[in-house]
Amino acid sequence: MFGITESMNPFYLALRELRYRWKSGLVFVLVVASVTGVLAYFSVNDASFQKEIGRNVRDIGSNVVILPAGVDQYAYHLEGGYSEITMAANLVSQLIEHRASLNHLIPMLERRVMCTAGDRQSIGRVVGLSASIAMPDRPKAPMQRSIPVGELQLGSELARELGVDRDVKAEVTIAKQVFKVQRVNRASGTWQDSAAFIDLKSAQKIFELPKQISRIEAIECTSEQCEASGLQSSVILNNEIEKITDEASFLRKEEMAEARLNVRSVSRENFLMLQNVLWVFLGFTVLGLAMLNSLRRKSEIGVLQAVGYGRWRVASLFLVRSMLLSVTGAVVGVTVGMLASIEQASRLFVITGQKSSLDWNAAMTIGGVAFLLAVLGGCVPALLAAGENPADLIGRDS
Amino acid sequence: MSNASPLLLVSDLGHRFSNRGQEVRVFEKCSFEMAPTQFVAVQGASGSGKTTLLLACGGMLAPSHGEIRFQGSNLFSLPSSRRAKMRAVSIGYLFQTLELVPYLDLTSNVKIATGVSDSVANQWLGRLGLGDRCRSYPRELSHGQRQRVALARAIAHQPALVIADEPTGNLDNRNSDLVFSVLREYAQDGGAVLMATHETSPATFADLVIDIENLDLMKAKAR
Repeated sequence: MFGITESMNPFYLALRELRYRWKSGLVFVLVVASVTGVLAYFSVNDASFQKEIGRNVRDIGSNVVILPAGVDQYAYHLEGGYSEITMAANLVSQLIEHRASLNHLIPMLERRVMCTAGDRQSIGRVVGLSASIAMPDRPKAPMQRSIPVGELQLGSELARELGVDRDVKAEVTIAKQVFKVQRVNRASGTWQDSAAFIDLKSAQKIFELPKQISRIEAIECTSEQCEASGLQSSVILNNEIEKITDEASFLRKEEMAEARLNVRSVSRENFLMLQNVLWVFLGFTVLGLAMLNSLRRKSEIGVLQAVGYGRWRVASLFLVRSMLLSVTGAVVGVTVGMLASIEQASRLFVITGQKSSLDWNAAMTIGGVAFLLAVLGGCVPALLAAGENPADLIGRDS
Repeated sequence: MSNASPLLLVSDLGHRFSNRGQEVRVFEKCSFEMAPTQFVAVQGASGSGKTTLLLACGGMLAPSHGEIRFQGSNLFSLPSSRRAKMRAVSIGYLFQTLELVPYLDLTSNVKIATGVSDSVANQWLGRLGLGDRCRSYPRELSHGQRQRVALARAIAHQPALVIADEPTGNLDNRNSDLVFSVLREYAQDGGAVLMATHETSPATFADLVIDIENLDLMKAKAR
């Protein structure tokens, strides 16, 4: 009598249903958006926090000291961390070549020598050092900037002994070499207050120790290897240095190193816990919402089965519905969460916050997991409902 | 009864279920056959098992015993996907409870039956006096109008068998006459109609009347 066409497609039906029951769809989207938003927010926030913590901890100072193997560590500590034994300066390039788990390497050469300023003189600990050297695959902002040749930085106590005023230009003579005072450092409460800092090459020249250094200060980067191998940081470093040279040993400033690791791992573990809790919350909430939706639509499922929709075809309506809602929720949540986090990071962390940016990997992961959870959670009740006998469903809207 | 090969063959059908440990017999030993173009009425009071018999004949409720053959196939030996396909193509079901999909307009509600185009859906709606309401939603219609939409959905894909469960139960005379006339016309045009009714004189419009209560009474007497 009349023409025949294909039956209606599930996208059309899902969109019409969503338009009709927009409130329940909105709740679904809000749940997905809230969870993905919080996760995206904390994901970017955690990255900014890690950068900021890294910057702060870096400014505390090095936590690893590499000394010549011949240094008697008892005497070294007795002298306040000082030794006249030296080692070859090319150890720095060896460490870089072997990609040791270190960063911000600062080679130093030091001697206790007479310093003269005008008519006053005093023994000072003169330290020649270079700018901090970053590992090639771990680029970082320099922890120590270079001191220009012919200039010098004075510790506060040594400056007082030599009568050098912070605001007045002055010169200091060391081993007949004249250095212009670049600045007088603020008191730090350590041996550095009685030290003078010059560039490494100048120190090697005036101490007549070419290509020699007293020690290398650095920051360890062993957290990933510790997690992967289960070994302690000191064991990893020891193994690495033993492989590179037998002319050096290392000291680890235990508390500083542990503090650095702890701060980072606490932040990471908190984020992981939050992440797990939120995924479980999302899974159960989506399951509950989908269950509610399928309960409300029992009669409709019965009608669809009565007019010839099979189990999988009925379930596909719910699957498409969950897909549409979860994609919408994830896109909204991840975008808002990341933008809010970037805004917060740039406001709170003045230096590192400027480097915060959208984390596409995190966005894809969070969006992807949310999508999968939502689809799975939405599918189970639909399959259960579609598996019921149509005769039991007709006239049974909840 | 027609001499054509049976479209629907019901043999020794019975259904029972358990309610709080008590076995309830709905009906027993129900046998009949339907040819294309036949109009069969199932008569009986409320709760006598008319809906159960119709659901079984539509492949939606497996009976406790007996056999239903539709177009030569034993319905309940087929996998559920085949039964669903058979319903999609060859059976139209008109429910007692006016089941329409609330979020679809009238055209789409009719189109939801497999293979029905917009124009076909609208022609049927027009024929049932709803030509000007095609874009309306079920909630905007009266009871009688919704019943007409459900009827359009049941017959728009021209199934071999239309199963109607008390389609005029809550309708006024005008709507009731319209539904009857369309179903009668459908049977005359080559489709079979199996209809449950509580009318007192179904013989006036049906080729065959199955009195489901008398079947039960006969069995009681036999015991």
